Amino acid sequence: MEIAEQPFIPSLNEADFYEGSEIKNLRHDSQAVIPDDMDWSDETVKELNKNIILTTLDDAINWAHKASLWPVTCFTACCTFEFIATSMSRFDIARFGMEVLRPSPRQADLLVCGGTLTWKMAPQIKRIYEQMAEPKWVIAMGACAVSGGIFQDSYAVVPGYNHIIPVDVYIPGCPPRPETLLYGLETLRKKIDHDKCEWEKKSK
Amino acid sequence: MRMGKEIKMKTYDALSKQFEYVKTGNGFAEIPSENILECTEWLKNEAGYDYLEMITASDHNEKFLLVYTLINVVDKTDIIIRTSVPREKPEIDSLSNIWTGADFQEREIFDLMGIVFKGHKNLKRIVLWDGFEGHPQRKDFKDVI
Ligand code: SF4
Repeated sequence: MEIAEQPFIPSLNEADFYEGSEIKNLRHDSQAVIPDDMDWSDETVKELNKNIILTTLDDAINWAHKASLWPVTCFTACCTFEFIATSMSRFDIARFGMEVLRPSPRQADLLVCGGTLTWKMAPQIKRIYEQMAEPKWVIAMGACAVSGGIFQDSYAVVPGYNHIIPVDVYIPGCPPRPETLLYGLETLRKKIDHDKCEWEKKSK
Repeated sequence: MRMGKEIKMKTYDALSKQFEYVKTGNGFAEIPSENILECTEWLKNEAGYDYLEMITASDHNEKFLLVYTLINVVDKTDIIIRTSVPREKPEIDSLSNIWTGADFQEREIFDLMGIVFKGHKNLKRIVLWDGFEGHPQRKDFKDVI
């Protein structure tokens, strides 16, 4: 039967000796400073080589757009609560860089139309849409926003936001669950991915 | 509430004794539309029904039915007054000079049902926007869109 090797436990003096020699070696090896990898000389070409990623302008701009969609706080009816749930920690749209709900349309580029729109409210929605800076996108959320929903025949309700403003993505449901809303947002991101740099066409 | 019911029945009896045109039905009093002011004033000043709970209207094709609910706050009873106006000439006296609370309700009925309240000081649309065509709670209403 073998006896297991005892671990080496140095005495205090020995430990001090090892520590001292380690530091001495490190000091001996560290007389010179460690040079920077980067060549900071004036040669422009060298510098550019280290700073340039090849891509297309469209791809770069679309990536920036889709990764920081800021919605404007403008909701008209019950679907809002599903949006609130989506923006809270359980579903967390912060993952898509869009947790910043802007109170001013001038700082926002996504209008999530959640809820029934009455004709009395329609001019205000149109004004908010027009105040938003280009580029801008609109999501119609819920049956009411898509087509008027259960209030479609009403004399007081707009049968769909697309009578008032152009809509990019339609999300059905009454109300759509947060997962559905996230799927809609994902669809919008895909749509933005295929955008071309010609936003002028949107604003007539 | 038993006591309240008895008081209410007494009021119905007193009302039909006071004005011979009153017809009492099952839980309401039916009166001609031109006597509405006289009746409600008497109920307010003599019978203690000094709170107007609500006014509402419904469309019965050849006539509009108007329903008034008054409350006696002290006795905790209510009384229901029904009257009707013809479709060709939907006009009735306004109660807004007796109860200020009738103001908005009469405006709403004018807006949606198209009944004109004579003596109302500010009879214009309250729910729908100015320039809306027609009165949407009428049965023959057709939206333009
Ligand atoms: S779709 Fe349903 S939940 Fe959404 S606003 Fe309309 S009625 Fe409300």
